[in-house]
Amino acid sequence: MARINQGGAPMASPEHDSGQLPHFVRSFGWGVVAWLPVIILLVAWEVVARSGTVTPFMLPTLTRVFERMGSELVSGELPIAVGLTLWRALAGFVIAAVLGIALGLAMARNRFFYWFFDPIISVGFPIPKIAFLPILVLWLGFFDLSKITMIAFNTIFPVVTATIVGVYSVEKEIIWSARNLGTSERGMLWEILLPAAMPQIFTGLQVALPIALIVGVLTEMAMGGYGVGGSMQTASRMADSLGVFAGIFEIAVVGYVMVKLMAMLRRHLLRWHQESQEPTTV
Amino acid sequence: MRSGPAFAAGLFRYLPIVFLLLLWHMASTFHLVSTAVLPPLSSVLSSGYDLVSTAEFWDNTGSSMYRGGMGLLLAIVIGGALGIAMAWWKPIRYVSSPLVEIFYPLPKSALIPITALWLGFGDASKILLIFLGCMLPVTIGAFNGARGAEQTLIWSARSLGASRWRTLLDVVVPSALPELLNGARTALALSFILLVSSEMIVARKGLGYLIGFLGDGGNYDAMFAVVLVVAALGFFADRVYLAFARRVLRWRE
Amino acid sequence: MRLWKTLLGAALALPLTLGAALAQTPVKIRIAWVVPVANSPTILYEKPDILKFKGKSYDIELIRFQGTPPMITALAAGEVDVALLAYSSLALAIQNAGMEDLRVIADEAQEGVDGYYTSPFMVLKDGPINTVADIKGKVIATVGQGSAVDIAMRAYLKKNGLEDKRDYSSVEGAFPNMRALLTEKKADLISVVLPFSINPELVEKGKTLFTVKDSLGKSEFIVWVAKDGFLQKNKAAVTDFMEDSIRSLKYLMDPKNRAELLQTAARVSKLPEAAFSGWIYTNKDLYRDPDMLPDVEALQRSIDIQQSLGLLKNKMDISKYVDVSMTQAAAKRLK
Repeated sequence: MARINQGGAPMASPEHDSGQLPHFVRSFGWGVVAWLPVIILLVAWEVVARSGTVTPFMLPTLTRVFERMGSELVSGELPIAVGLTLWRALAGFVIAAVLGIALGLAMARNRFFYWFFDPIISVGFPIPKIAFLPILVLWLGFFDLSKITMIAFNTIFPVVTATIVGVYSVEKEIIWSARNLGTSERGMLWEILLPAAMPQIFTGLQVALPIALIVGVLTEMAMGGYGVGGSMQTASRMADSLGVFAGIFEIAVVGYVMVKLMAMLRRHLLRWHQESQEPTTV
Repeated sequence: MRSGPAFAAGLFRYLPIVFLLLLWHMASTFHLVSTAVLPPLSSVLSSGYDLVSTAEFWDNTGSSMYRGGMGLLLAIVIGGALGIAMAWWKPIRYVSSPLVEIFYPLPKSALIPITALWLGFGDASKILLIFLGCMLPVTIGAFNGARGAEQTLIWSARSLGASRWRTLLDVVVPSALPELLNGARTALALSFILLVSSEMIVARKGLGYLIGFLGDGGNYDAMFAVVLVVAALGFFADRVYLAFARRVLRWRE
Repeated sequence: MRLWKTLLGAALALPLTLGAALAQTPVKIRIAWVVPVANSPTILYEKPDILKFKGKSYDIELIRFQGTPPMITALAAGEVDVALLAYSSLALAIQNAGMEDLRVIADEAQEGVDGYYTSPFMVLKDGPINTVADIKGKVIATVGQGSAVDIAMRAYLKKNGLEDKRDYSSVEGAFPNMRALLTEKKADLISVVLPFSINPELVEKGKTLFTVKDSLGKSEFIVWVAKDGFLQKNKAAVTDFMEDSIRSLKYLMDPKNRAELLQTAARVSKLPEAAFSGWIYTNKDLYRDPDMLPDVEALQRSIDIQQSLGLLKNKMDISKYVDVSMTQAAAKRLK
């Protein structure tokens, strides 16, 4: 789809001001500006950590945290921990996404499903699910199965609510005209509703993915074993704050990459939609 | 006069919850779960009754609601404004997105040692964590919603001479509303989870404090009673919010 | 409308309470705890008429923590003044967190004292394990690697030639869930403490394979710690605080006041009195020194075992980190 001329587009702004500069200079310049707050934060961290107002236990210097990550990388601990956490988070996320979209569609199209699940969603979404962890452990054991189930259990709710909102916001005219053209209920679902609701569904997935990662880490912290959360828990028990901060950085990097990839996927899948005329960030 | 049928309709509507509770009851009667980890519903309800009849319990609830409410309010106001601003002004998008994207996937409770450095362990650090955790669903919703605004509507508004601000308020914000409101619904639910998890780690009072210490003391009857109270409050808040959101959306049309 | 009024009220009350706090003379002692009742500070300061100095020279504030790690952070950040630490956490806080200024000020509970309770490690009565050697190839449940009871368990298994990962595997569970892990056969050996160890179902289905005493002998299990800076600055107030604490402990330990002890324990924990009546502050409970003086030798021995298991990097002389002068002075005043 061609990019529409931005001559009169209100979205336009900085690009025009620096229109004379070559593209890579502009993008590099914005790259620096974009990361400026993050850089300031990191510099402030280093300054506070070196100032002596806090102990290295409370706030270790970034250099030492990075050194620690480096040595964990070399020893192979880091890739294993990150890999395991990522696998659990993604497995839980995919299960939640598939079931969540299916349930959301069913609820939006079927009165019985709506009646049955609407109050359950309202009560299940805000409930602190960590209280049910011992039950999951007894049922499903100590390993991946219970952790992934916990992740999916937490992640499914935003997907369901977003799917319902998505389907409801499909314009009635589109549905009527499709029906008048003789589209079957099945065809309606696959060819009309799902694509039209996709932007909202994707918003739900974008919200759900980081939740999957967070719950993954917290579950690992609560249950021990391997993974970033497990390593952080062991480190914090050993009063090894370097290990804890290394874990926080690992999750930050992994989380950032996941959020970014999700936004790119959104842009790719929603090429046809309004919003894709501009690069998707958040 | 109409209260009879209305009551019946309400009962019917929320019947699935009764079904869930029945499931719980059966789980312990037929020993599907060890009562050591999930006590029978009847004993949870009776210790819940004892609990809610103490003033101390409502004191705990009050302080949790204050923390959760403040965090959520900040998240909706700041998160919503940020999302729309990010869709509308590129510099804001550039400057805020990496920060937002890095903070969102972090487990907020893991940040407690850091926030404790300058905010201590009181209300402020808990409100901050709830705010951080609840902000992004609102921001993403507002951002994606605002960007989904029909370009043709924006152009026609602009060509009719509407200022950028007017276009923002009359075209972009209304079109961002459904997603923004759904983001706020997610934030509302998350705020309950976050307030419990932040109060569980360090606290002097609050519902998370109760859950934490009752659980550690092995008093699962009372702990699940508090979990039920949180669920009930969350449920009630969600229903009220949904009614509110529906009204806002109808008004928009 | 109500909400706004409450919020407004809270906002207005804030400077008032702050002002009141500043005007008060007593030293505020913030105490960190984890488990109600078992951590004595949760029940020691409930009876105003035996606390001579509370509200005068000192006052207390109880803060609950989920386990020891956040407690160490809070101590380091100066957010709490007195914390209850197991010997293992104490050593880690000093060595790994570099908290050279930590001082042991009092005893909370000791394990393995003759004639008193010691925490058991249990297996199923009719299960496959009858001797320690049978643990080979089995699953053990621990509350967390490197914790005080975990060290006792590992040390005992090691003494019997069993190593983690090579000879057995370990999983984690919280004390309240241990019973279910054993009875549902998710773990073959569990680690339990009071009051979970005397649960009727567990007593019926489980049996003790060995105990903390078997492993560590007599050990100073949990101690009160504070930072040296705080102690030096508030010597008089801390002495008063310890005097009240010792007086209150003796009062609650006195069989004459048993009914009151049980009432307090039930009120604080929200459990029935029956949950405590069989053991609390009797010889079926862990030993607590009536003068709250820690056994430094026993403390040293436990920390040496921790180090020998590789759970502490270097050897450590714990006596450098003990300052019981205020507790001793307080105990003397009560004589």
